[in-house]
Amino acid sequence: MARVKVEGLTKRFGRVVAVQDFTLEVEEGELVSLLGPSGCGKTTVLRCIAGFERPDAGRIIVDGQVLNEVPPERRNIGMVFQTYALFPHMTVADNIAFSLMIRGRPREERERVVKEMLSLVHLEGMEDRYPHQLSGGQRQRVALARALAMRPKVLLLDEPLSALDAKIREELRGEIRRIQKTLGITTLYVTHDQEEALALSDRVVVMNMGRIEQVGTPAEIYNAPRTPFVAMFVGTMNLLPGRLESDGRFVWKGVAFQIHRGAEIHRGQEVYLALRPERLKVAASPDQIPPGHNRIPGRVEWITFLGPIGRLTLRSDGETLLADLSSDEAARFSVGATVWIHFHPESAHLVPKEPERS
Amino acid sequence: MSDITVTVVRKPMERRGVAWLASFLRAEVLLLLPFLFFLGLFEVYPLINMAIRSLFDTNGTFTFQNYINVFTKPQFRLAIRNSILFASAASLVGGIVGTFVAALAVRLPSRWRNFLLSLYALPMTLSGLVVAFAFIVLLGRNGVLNLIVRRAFDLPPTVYFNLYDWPGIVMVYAFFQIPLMTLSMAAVFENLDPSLIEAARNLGARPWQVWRYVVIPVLLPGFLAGMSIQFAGMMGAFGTVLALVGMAKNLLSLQIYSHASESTYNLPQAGALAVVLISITGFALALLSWGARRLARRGT
Repeated sequence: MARVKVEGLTKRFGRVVAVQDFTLEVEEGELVSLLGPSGCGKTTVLRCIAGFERPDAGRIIVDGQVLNEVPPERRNIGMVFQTYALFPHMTVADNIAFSLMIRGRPREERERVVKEMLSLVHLEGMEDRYPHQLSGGQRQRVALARALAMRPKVLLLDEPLSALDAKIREELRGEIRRIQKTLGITTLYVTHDQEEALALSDRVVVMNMGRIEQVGTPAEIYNAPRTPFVAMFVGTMNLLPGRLESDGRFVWKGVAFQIHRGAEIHRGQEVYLALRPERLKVAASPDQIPPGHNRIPGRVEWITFLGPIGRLTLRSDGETLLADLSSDEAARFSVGATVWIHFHPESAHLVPKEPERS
Repeated sequence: MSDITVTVVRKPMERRGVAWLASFLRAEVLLLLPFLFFLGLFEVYPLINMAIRSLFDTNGTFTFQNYINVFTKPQFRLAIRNSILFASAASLVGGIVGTFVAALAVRLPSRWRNFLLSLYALPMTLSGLVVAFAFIVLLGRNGVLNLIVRRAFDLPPTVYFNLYDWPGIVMVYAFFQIPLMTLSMAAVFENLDPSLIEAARNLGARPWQVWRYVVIPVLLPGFLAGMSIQFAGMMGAFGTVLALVGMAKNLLSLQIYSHASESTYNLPQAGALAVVLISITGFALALLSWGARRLARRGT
């Protein structure tokens, strides 16, 4: 297993800067996700590590060895593609054994590895099938088995689940994590699906327009976004623009809130108050609000039934806020009702308006 | 991959027959009728008629003599041999050159690629006769290029590129064949998923191994399909070669022509020759498509 280090990686396509000064260290056996919208450069980072793109600046280091000049076939880094990229003219067994065949390994070893890999991805007995005879989920399992067959130092996955149905996606997501933990293989996982990134990863790298916005554990990314982009991209977030008047006092349109978090923000700074919909509470009258909660009046604009939860679209002083209540609670309100929106000071988080670029 | 489940509800035979008739007579099916009519009148009927007539002599007596002639008379045996060799050579030249041109064309920026491909569609719209005369003007015994080369290197008039021999004929047909192959292979190359190549390199294959184990096997079915079109076209090649060499070269298509309209008029014999030509082409196409299907399914 290996440590991966990317130092100051920059990649341009013509005049377009795809990746700008990207630096990241991945520990042995760690699974790190690169998360961001399409075109944010996450796949380019992966392709530079695999050796399919030449960095314009920066270094790719695996286990202390600089790989910039090493051709892709000599890097021993496994890769799984979004389109599976299985060889259509080869059986499942031949696909999985491809890397061993290229290296001239004996037949017995190839057969043993194919068996091992098929049992790892739960596709026993599928040796003689062709890719076109498999479902999408099965194809991606074969692609994973093929990438792992040569015991790579690092595993790269480029949106491996985005072509699959929601149900298979969730199932395979768990499988990927289980296999990654079993083998303890250092893994980089590219996705635009924030739920996938949060569910799978030890750490998440949120990217936007070729730059890193934030690196952190899934909980840090979700609970303490450092930029408005991260706050908006990961999950659903209410952002109220305002100013930090004094420590713990945030003012939005003349309304002051008590805030506990956000010590790194200076007094007087323009900031956003970030509130997750599930942290917002709604009360029919002020006497139902627990003491110490911040409160604003509002009106119910719309109610969306989402199964276990009901999402209230609220309007307060020209601003739209979303509040997720349990379905039962949400059913107590009706569209047009005047309500009180309230939240605990611990529930809010401050995000600087100008993202810090380090 | 989404699976569509079709549930067939069994009905009594009679009702199903009525339903089938009703669906057959739906308005849009009627639009096919003119096509089916023309297909029957100008393709099916003449073929059957020709096949039947080839089994009778000029007096109307049933005989296999016309077919015996095809396989025993030296002029016909030579024509079959020449046609197969010529069609194979012309298809190979067109197939190989066309494939390389397609491989280069798909790498161009899409604006240039589309321009090039539309240029390539041009030869297919030209009459074979016109092309033949164009080549005679350019490359005939006293054609422009031969004159220039002779003048430049001070060569005697006995030295020239002979357009009227096999290599010349193959070259003229390449003018049609290369663009045809390029167009069909360009589609094949465009459908080649570039991540297959990357996957192979990622798994340790050096560039030549990528070609050997991935690119060539994946492209081969499309290549064979393109070759089928080439071969079928070349077996029937007629107009341009007639304009170039007249009857000086012995090809099946020219033999058929001479038995159908010249002094050697013998329509049943022409019919037998045509049936043999169609059979050879059909056999070659079946062989190529069998190979292509086998390759499409099987591993290396």
